[in-house]
Amino acid sequence: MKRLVDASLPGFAVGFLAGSLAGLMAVVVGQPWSWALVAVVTLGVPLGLFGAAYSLLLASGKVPRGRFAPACLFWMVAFPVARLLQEVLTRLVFVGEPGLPPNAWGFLAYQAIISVGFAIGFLWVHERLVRVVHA
Amino acid sequence: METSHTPAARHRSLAAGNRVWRAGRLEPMPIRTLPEPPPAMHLLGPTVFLVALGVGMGESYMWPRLVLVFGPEIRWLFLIGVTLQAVVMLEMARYTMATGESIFAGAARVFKPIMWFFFVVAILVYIWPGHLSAGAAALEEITGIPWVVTACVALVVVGILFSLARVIYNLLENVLAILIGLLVVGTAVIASFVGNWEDLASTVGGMFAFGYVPSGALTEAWFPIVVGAVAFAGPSGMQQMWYTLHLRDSGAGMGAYIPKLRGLRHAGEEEQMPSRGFMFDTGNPDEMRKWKGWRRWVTFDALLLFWGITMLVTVSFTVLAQSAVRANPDIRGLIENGEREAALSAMSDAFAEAGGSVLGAVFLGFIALIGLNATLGLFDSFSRGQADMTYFFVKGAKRVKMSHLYAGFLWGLITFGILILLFGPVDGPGSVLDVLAFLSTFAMGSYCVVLLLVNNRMLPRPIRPKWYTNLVIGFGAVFYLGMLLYSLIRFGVVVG
Repeated sequence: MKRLVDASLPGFAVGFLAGSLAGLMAVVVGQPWSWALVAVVTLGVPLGLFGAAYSLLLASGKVPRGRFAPACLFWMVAFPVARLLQEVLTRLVFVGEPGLPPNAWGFLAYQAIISVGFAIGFLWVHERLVRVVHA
Repeated sequence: METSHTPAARHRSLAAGNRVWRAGRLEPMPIRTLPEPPPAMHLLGPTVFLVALGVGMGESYMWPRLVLVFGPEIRWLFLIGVTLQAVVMLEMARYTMATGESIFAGAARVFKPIMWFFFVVAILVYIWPGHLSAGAAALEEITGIPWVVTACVALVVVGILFSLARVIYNLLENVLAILIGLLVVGTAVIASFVGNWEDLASTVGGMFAFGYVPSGALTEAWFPIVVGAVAFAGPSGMQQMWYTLHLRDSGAGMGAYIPKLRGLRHAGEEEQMPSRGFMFDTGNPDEMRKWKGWRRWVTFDALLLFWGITMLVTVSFTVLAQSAVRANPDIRGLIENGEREAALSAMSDAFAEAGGSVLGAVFLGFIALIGLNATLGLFDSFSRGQADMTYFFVKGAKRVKMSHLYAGFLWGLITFGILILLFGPVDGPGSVLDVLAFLSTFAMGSYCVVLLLVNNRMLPRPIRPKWYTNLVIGFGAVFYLGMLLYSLIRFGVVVG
């Protein structure tokens, strides 16, 4: 179990931090903690879990280390799903009922393209953290 | 072993086993074995420095500004500018990976005064701490701490950090990789919140509107700005030349034979620095196989990491600017008029209205992060470049270690920076601002000429650039120098 946690930690950390950026900044500028908490839970946790999954794929040898294409494909699916979850859950918290964003397919296509950039940044930080963890 | 007929450069067999490569009139380079290249598809490398220096206000502010004024179609010029810089990066890497020498040493092998020209330009252009203002001002908006205080503290922290490092390159590559990684990840997240499919499609589509030049772009007011934005797309001034120093310190190609630069505290551990670079046997097929591997490695860096990340950040910030204008149409006027601080602040407010004040703060946080990356990269690069030229070409300088020279330039730059921040004009005296802008663009045209000379005359024939690469670099020289002069003669204004 400890090995599993160790292996998944770098990916979880990067994904969670990226998804929680909005929440962290909310605290800095004096927003209510509830706002920050919603941002962290609805986006930080899903991105963190997807990041952990990527780390585990890497540790198990199913994804080659330092390669861009597999990470890009992984996040092309995972990032839009995480953002969709965040939209649905945020509506649930603040409006009281879940709902899809307008033009859901356009939304997903846009998120998929943005995910390419996310994948580059994720890999860049992830590689560093993996080195630190394994050092 | 290839024997070039170029008078400036040729292999020569001295004693048995002591073959050297003669390039110019400087000390010949001994022949050594080229190290094995790493896998081409990688993510970590010296490109991080070029991205840190290159992704600045041009990408996050100037190009979004041009898109708002002239429409997304103007972005084809950005595509040309960044692609040209990617080719320049590959050619800078060619000389350094083949010899372990910086491009400054290459210039000195052609004609020593060229190198001294760059030494002087670096001092004139880069000692002013104005580049700190945008990032520190963004931080002031978030925290309320006066920007001059933040800037002065940042300067001292940077100095201490670099002085304590065992190997400066390793420390800085780690720090910058994490900072840029966070910037890229954060930019993607924020763009995913505020942008939409239509903005992205128009921004990306605009990159392929080749030949689109609106009449407004040819006016006295806009021509120098548009040309400056194209010239400064990605790294500007001498940043590409400094990249060769980082490439060498990363151990790429023959750089593996050059000791790494150490922080002041660990200067005593620095190995003896050789007085010149090295060359590999270009007549040996196995050595040429390794060379091709190194070229693939650096091409991946240039295309995906440098070109891709620079493109990603501008596309993201353009999408952000379009969203901000939709939320608050007044921003268009501020951006068009070039009121940078006010425009960035208004954009932050627009994001705050769209997604809560948190988004506005995140946006300013990124501007601060871009400023921090540029400052870290610039201070290290300037000190590294000046120390390199001093060590190899100032008589008697080899009596001290390269690390001491580096520390001297670094702390000199920091001391001068703090004095100017407190008492002087941060961008340089108003009367010489145009001269500094001129020199910055002139240096870019000049390094293209230097690249042509160095790579075609100082390297063995099998590893010289192909004719089409020379054509692109030649185009760069004509573009940078031609536009600079055209703007001066036609409008009486310096580009930038």
